[in-house]
Amino acid sequence: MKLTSLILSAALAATVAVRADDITVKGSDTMVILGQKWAETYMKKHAGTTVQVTGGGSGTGIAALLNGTTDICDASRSMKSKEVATFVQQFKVRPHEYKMCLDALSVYVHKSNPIEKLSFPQLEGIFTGKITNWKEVGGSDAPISLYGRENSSGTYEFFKEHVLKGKDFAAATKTMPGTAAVIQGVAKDEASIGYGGVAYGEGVKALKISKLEGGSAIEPKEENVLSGTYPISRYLFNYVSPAKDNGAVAEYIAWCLSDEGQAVVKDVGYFPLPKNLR
Amino acid sequence: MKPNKQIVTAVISAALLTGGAAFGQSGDAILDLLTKKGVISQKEANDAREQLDAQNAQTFDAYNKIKVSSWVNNLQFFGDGRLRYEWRSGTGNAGTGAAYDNASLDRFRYRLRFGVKGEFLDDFSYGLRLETGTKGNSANVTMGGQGFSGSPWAKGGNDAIELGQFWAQYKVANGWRPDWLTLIGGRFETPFIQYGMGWKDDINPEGFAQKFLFKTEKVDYFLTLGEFTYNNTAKQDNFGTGASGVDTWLLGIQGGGTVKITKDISVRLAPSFYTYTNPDLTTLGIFAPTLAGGNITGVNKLNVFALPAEVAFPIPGIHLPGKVFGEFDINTTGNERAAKTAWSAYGAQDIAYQVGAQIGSTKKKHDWLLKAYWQHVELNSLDPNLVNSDYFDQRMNMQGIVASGTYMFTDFLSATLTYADAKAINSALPTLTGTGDLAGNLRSYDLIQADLNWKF
Repeated sequence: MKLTSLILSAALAATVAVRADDITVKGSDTMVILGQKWAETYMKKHAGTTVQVTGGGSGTGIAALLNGTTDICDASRSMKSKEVATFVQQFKVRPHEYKMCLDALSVYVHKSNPIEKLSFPQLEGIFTGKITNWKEVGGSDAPISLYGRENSSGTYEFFKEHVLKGKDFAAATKTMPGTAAVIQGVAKDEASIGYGGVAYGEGVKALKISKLEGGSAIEPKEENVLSGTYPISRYLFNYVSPAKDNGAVAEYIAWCLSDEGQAVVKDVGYFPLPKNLR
Repeated sequence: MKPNKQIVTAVISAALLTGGAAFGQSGDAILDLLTKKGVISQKEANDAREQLDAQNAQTFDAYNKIKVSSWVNNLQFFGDGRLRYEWRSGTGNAGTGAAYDNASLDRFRYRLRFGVKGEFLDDFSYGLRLETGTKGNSANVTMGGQGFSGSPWAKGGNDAIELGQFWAQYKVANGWRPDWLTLIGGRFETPFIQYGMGWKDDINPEGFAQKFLFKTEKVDYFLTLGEFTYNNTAKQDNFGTGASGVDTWLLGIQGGGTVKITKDISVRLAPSFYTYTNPDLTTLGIFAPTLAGGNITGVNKLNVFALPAEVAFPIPGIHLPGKVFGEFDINTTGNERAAKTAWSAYGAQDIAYQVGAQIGSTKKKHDWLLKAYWQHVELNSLDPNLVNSDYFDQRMNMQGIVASGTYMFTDFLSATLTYADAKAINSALPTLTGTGDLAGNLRSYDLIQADLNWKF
């Protein structure tokens, strides 16, 4: 009996030991590259820890957080009050929110497109389908080809709320499964326009953006995000259940927010969080 | 960053002194400010919020006079009220031989429904709704219509508060495909998709339902089963020669899918079948309508195949939701049902259909909805106990149009104007004398209703 108890206890302890350092991260596709780079760098220095990162969109990550099927949720938008309420109903406590870094949500066009800047009203017109030809915004005579994200994406929600003022995207928008796919589409299509995180802007042109028609157009650069002048800047978040915000998970998040973790942010193409905000 | 426990402690202490949810918000603001200033880290702010929430919950619990069992996750009061002006008019007669005449009525009515619903243990929900009215198909009370028992506005008729709905539900909330299974029992709104022709919305069946849902990117597949005790016999077996009988159940099955063509355009088909157990033995009797009355409640030989369908799409140019909907029903044993009546020479009379369209919605302030449909219900096609008692006065063998418009003054207050006009499909056949508020064997029927609705 004693021997059985001993074996069971040892097995349990071993399981707990293994599971404690097994971290799952799920959510934002915008953050997938960053998440994977963080995980890769962290695991090199912490041999006993496994960090598994998957995308699916911020909505999917938040659903996983609510289901308890992920330790950390990556989100490119803040949790909605209804989602927080659902979390509180389920866990009797609010989720822990961590701002992880900064992003300039960028508007991309094909490299050959002569357009250099667009305003919020123009973007609203283009993405809701009221403006359908580039010549209406000073470009060449070509029908605009729209690229966007699925509605489970935090980037989709953020762009819809802040740029389209809650209006629906035009039905003609090509829905892509991730920011990488949006960029791929835009890079191949000369008449295209799409949006996504600043770290993805390879092989396409990121436009300067102004909030008002005729206002000064701002480039999606770090200093403009930090000064708050770039109009579609945002935080990228981690959400964690308070019950799990300890041990390996807490150490991992602390590391991501450390100078070393924030160096990875810069490497990937996003903007590090100022020290005072960490 | 150096942890500053003294400051965090000070914030929490301030919370305790201030107390209540009000501090919840200002506490958050202070913690955000402290984080922004670099005084505390995000981790410390999160931990402090957790402590604040726990303290607030304890404080709230201590002061809260309404206690709810700990396993109840939430509790919500809900309900609606309605004031109605109604005018009904018809041409017909009271029975065989009499000359056609006109009958009409006008009246003011009200309806109150209120209840409580909520969730417990995550996957389970519950609810009950109390409402005015004693009938199964209406919660309306006619003003001044309760009689004059020693004083005007007597109580105890339709203005009594009755149990309208009561249900317990299990729905898979988490794990593999949330929502794939819903089990419900009690007295609840019909689980079947339909558009108000064969089943008036006010009717809440008693029994059980099982709903299955399988969602894919392009199609939502569903299957719904319903078993409802339609007419219960007190004893299935009695002592000696005492009265006994059998129960009648209404059984229904509906399966189908919603095809999502784009984000705003979808097509839904929901083929269904309804049948009744022991229909010939029920105390409702055998369906045998006459021009003057007869049996108008029997559900014998009613095996109805129904095909409700809709296409939802945005209206081009005005960015409003639109919908074309309809239903085709056939009583597959219509000939046998007709054979039991005096009208078998007129054939099965077993078809019912509805075709309509609507524009708009009623979700928020300033929304509006226009809706119109054509409806054709033959004598032996549907269950006469379930058809709409407003639009065609709960009559069979009638066809006509129903049109309505709704405007939302606020998110909760709306007005609806409804007009219906119907005629007998075959003027030689009864339109079921005795049912409906106009009574008589109608050849034509008109209705105007003006409603003021509010919900809470």
